[in-house]
Amino acid sequence: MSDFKLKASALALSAALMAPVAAQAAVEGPSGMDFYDVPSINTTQNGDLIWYRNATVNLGAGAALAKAYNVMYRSTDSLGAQNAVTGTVLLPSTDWTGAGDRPTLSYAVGTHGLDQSCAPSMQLQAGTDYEIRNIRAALEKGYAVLVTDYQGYTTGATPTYLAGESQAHAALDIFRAASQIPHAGIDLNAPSAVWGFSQGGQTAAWVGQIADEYAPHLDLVGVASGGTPADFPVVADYLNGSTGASFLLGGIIGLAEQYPADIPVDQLASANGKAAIADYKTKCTFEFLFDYMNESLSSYTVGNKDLDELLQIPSVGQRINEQNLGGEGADVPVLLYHGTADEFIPIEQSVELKKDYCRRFDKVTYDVYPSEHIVTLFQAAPTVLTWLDERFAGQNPRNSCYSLSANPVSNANPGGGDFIVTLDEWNLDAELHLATLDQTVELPEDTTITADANITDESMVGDLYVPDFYAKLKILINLTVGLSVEPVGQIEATTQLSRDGILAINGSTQANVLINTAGFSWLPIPFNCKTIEPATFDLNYQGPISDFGAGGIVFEGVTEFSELECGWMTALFNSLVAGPGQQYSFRVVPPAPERL
Amino acid sequence: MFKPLTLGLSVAVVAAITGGYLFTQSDDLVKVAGQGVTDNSVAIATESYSAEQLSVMSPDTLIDMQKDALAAAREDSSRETDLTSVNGRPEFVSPAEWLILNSVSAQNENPDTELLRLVNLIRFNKRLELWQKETDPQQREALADAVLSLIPARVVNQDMSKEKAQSLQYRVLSSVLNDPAELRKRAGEEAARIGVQFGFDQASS
Repeated sequence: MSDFKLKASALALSAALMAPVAAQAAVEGPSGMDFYDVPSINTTQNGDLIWYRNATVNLGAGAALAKAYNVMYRSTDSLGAQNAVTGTVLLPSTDWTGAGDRPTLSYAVGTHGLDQSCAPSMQLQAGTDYEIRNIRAALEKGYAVLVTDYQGYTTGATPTYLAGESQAHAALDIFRAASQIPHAGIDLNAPSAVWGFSQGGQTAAWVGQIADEYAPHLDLVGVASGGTPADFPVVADYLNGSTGASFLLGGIIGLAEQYPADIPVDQLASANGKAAIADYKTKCTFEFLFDYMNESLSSYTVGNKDLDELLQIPSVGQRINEQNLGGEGADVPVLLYHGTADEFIPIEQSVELKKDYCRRFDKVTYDVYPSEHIVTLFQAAPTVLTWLDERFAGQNPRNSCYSLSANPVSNANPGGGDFIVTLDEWNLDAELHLATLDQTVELPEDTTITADANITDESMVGDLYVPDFYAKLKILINLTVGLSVEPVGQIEATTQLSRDGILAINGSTQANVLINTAGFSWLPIPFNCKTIEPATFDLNYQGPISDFGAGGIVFEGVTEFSELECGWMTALFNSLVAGPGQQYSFRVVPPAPERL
Repeated sequence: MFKPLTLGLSVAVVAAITGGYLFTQSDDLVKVAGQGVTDNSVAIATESYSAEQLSVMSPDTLIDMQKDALAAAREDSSRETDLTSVNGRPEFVSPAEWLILNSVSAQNENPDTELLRLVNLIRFNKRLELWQKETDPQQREALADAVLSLIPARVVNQDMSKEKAQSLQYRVLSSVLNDPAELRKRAGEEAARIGVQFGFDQASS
């Protein structure tokens, strides 16, 4: 142990001896990886700060970040045992313009991986955390944002992945820890909320169920829980042998870490299973997602026991079922949201959670997205943040319990095959800038793209649809020009998802441009001009996977229009419209949710 | 709201368009041709029309003007180089086209240069149009040469990319040359004029 840590431990110990019921004076922690070595814990309350340090995080250019800290704080696991949890505290540069104190948001991350290097605090520092986009969006709202790593990322530990109560404790205790950082300005009494998706959605929902008892000191105004695994046996069955199979293996490892006596993974795992577990523990999300895709749990167990047989082991079944949500109410308003095409977490069991809460007269808002799991994570952010703003403003939430809308049903791609992200008639915010006329033509709002991005075989095939439309072009006067963009063939592209979550799309599509009419809106005159060869629109993009759901995928480029055939006015139209230098921009816009 | 004059012009515009033209009203920015000279001895129209005058003409009259301009383009097709300046409306540009080209170029930061580019471009496009419509083999061959002569300037002016230019060269040559060896030879020569190393497979694709 370093001198610094000895000193810190001694300070903590002496403080505990002198004032055993008082909060400990904050201690600045060591630099580098020493920060993750747990010192003797002599704090008195859950959430007490063990130590902190200034942190450098990389949220990308333009992030509304004023200052960041790493924290280590006291918490408790699912069995009530004391533990030490690390995390990150982010202070926004954005002014808080709402009523009252600046709110504090605990952002509960989804699956990151079991290796210590996968810890959110480390990935935020490296700029590789795939949830950065949502964290940035919360900072832009003016919230202080707290990101717990959850239990298990201190040196020598293993995460108790998917142990619901442990995760909820960590997400709640970080409020107190942040408030104890000297001069950080985070008020423990400020309005607070928890938001998370997938594993984070599980965490947020658990927070809603236990906050009143576990953290009654907080002014918790709501929890937003998306892609929520609420019924563990159902989710496990859905994942087993499917595209999301790696999450099931990770869950078994994490829960065995929390309940080693009841889920004796060393006895249950075959040699192949033990090798897989050892390997799994060294990987982060976008590594194991593909490495363990479509594997069945039986391939890892002694005697090839399948999932049902494992769940029939009483201690295993009991611990798995203990992770189920519902069965008790939420103490605060809850926003549940889910994608109908979620291929990892079935939407039906999320709807059942809503029904459970509704039966207890909880306030539940439910949003449905027509998207798969990862897309929904980012697509939902604007709507979630609006919902949180309304909670911080003290408004009553819409209660979907009284909705007459039909319950959503899954339309996910079938499990057990390739990992395919389907864009079903997503809008394109598209425009063309005509070179010679130096004017921009916006394509109609209902321009759409329908495509299957097959992440497994690295291909994308799809179709553009552009309805006929009118545009105003200034040629002496503002003429109303009737235009068509007529796709030729299909979109064909390659798609690659790197192991740090960077998506690359490279392909093209072709389309003819037609000038159907020109004149005034009340008297369009037919011209029927058409390019004699289709223009090629390159569709190249590289950026974080979060861009898929967040409307960040933009295909931009410059193309050339061939000459047109128009009858009498061919030469004039060719001189004004044809040629190179035609700029285009196509932004893929995720569809809006349906609020039940 | 349209002013009375504008309304009158607009009605004329619609009438013109109904006749098959894109002919529109003018504003004060438009210079109407009549005087002036261009280099290369290109014929300059002697008629001068204001937008107001054009706006009261019948569609048939406007169509006739368009035909006259196309005929002038045919007359001009033996000249193998671009114009280097424009001081008035060349005869191969109709009065309506002249108004529009002036209006569009006026929006450019270098209006005179842009007008010259557009005049040369419409000259080229009219040759192309004539070649496409011509059925007489001898005339078609002459027009093919006329089109080919101006393609290098289109590339230099960035009116078309080298790829499109080479594709067009091959299309034009294919329409007049039947002998594959001759076609390959000429395609190579034309490609060299736009700075492209000729590749037969590429050109024929």
